[in-house]
Amino acid sequence: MKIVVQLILMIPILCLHAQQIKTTQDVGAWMGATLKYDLTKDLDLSLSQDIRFQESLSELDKYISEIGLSYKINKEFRIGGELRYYINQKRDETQSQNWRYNLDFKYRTKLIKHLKFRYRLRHQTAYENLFTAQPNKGESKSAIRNRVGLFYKLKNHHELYFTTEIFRTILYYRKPYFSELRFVVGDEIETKYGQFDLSFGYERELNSLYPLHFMFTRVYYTFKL
Amino acid sequence: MSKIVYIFLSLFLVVSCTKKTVILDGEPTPGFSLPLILNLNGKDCFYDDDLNLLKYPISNNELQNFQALVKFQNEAEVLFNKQISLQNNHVNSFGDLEYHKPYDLQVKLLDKTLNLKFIFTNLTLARVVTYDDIKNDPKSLAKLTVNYANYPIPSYNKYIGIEIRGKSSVFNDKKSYGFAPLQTKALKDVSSSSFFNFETNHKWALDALFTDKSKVRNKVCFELWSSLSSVSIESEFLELFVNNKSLGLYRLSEIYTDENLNLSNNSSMHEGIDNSTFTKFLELPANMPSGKFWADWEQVYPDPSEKDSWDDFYELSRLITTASNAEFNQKIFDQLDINNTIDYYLFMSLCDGYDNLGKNWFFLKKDQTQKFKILLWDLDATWGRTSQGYTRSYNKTNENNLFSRLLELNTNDFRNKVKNRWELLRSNQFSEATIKALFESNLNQLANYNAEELENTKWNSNFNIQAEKQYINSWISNRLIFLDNYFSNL
Repeated sequence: MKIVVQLILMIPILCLHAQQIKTTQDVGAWMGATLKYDLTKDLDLSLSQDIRFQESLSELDKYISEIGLSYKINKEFRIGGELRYYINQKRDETQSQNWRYNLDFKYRTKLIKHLKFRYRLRHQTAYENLFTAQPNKGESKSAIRNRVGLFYKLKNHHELYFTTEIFRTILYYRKPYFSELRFVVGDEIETKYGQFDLSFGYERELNSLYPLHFMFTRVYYTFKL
Repeated sequence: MSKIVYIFLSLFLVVSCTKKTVILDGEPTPGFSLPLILNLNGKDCFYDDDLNLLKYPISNNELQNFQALVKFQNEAEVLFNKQISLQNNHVNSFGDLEYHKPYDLQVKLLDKTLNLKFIFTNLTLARVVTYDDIKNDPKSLAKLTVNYANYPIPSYNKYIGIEIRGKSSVFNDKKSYGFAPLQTKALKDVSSSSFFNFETNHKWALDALFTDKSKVRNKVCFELWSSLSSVSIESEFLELFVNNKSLGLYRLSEIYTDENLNLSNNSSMHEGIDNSTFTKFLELPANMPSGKFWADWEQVYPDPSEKDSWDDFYELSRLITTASNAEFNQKIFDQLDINNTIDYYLFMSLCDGYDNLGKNWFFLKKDQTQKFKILLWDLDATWGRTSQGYTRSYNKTNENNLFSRLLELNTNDFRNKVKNRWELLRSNQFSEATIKALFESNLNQLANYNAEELENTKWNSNFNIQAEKQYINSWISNRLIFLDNYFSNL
């Protein structure tokens, strides 16, 4: 982590917030930790904290706290839901305090030896500035997300993966549209201290005249009680 | 493993860093506003991405030594006319201005310099900001801003639900639109608004004027008709922008609604939506009417999803179409307002409204004590042009079964009444000088708006005001000679 901080400090801060100035390329970093607890044999509870940076890692993007439940239906199917509170620092320099819930349907299957296929369908709805005195409080933004991924198990507790995900955003004042495409390549590493997920991602805005190309590193740590 | 992480992190930062670009044609915000480029006296200048120019409406008396409170992006530097460096959030002097002259405007932002043209116009500007493509149905949510030029009216800035209007015209490149003002962002939350000096209404039209070679036929017709009838349509020209694109010249027009017609629960209004044997009263549809449509007739009011109101109109249709001559003669003017019927017939004869005797006409009955009156609509195909814009001879007469029977049977001395009314109108509203003056004033207005260049640049059209004025004037002269002769021999 020390090197990350050093790199952040090296980058000059560029802080422009005119609407006429559109960020079309950016680098960010997502870091988080999750605590998992088995409530029953098939039901997990998770608590997580997540911090994300944007603008070449020079600015806070989001600070996230999340609680979630996941239920294993059988070996292949799982359903779950999360409730998230997050502070969102937008690119126009405004900030919002949002609440979001996710509903997940997950499927996983073994394709060949060591190679697994995973699919996640997520419905999410975020409420902007809910419980605040902001004029636009409670405006909702929903999305349907479809993610598919291939996971390859290596020796030494490593599992390499590649996922791709498309976002379809639903706003009440606009017809639903595909808003984002995300690719992530990473490694899930099991250690005696828990699981580390190190990955690199690329996001591209869709349906935009000047789409944002966003690259990010992700470092997540999960500890199971 | 940690080394790999560091290498990847370093690689990320080497190959990619934050890049920003300066854009003028930005996307709408959730509040349906567009990126601020230049705001004068609280009004945004509208940007046309195709021609890379900004436009601002200004009144005649502001042209000399124009001063305005200027706002632009905090980080920007803006140079007007190569010499005036504009001060943000201050009142700036622009000097003496000319309409439609393309002034240079330079915007410096980040390390970029953007050069664009800046035009002051005497034409009212309207901008629709929307995320979605505007479709035929359903309506799209948008925000409409109207900045007036020579009207002392504050700018309009409200949410609207907007859709494409028309039937065959939906296939034209330039679309006409219909919109309903909204109280909030909810499409069902319709409210009333007023534009220019018109009465408030909850439905409005933006006429694309695409096929009309003069662009003024509808406006002139309604202005002329308003001298004969209390029920007409008011409209005014403007330039329409959708997001960062100008769509050229439009006509913002009233639409017949329960609000501007003062309709009640006992009112009914039906429209002919196609030229057919049914709407020309040559044939009575086999089925009894119910719901929204009856052959090529549409129940416009009351809302057919709430109430069927076909009985009186069915009876009128039956009377015109299938009743015996005796019954027709006896009852037709119990149902139809005779003065309005004569005026409608004469008006359509005058302007050669061949496309308004089956479709593009409304039958309005305000309540049970009143008779049906005919209302005008969509008069593109008049004054010597077809609905496709082709020329049409001045010596054609147009009838449908209603007018044919009235003339043939001379119901209630119809022919004499028509003749007398024609003679009266010819020395007043239908005088050659009056009609030509109406065209002259509207076409001159368009010339002053620089509408020729606007339309021809935007739509690669061949809009020629002078040529069309000559054609119309010549057609009117010939038409009046022809009709004087026709009615004198009636």
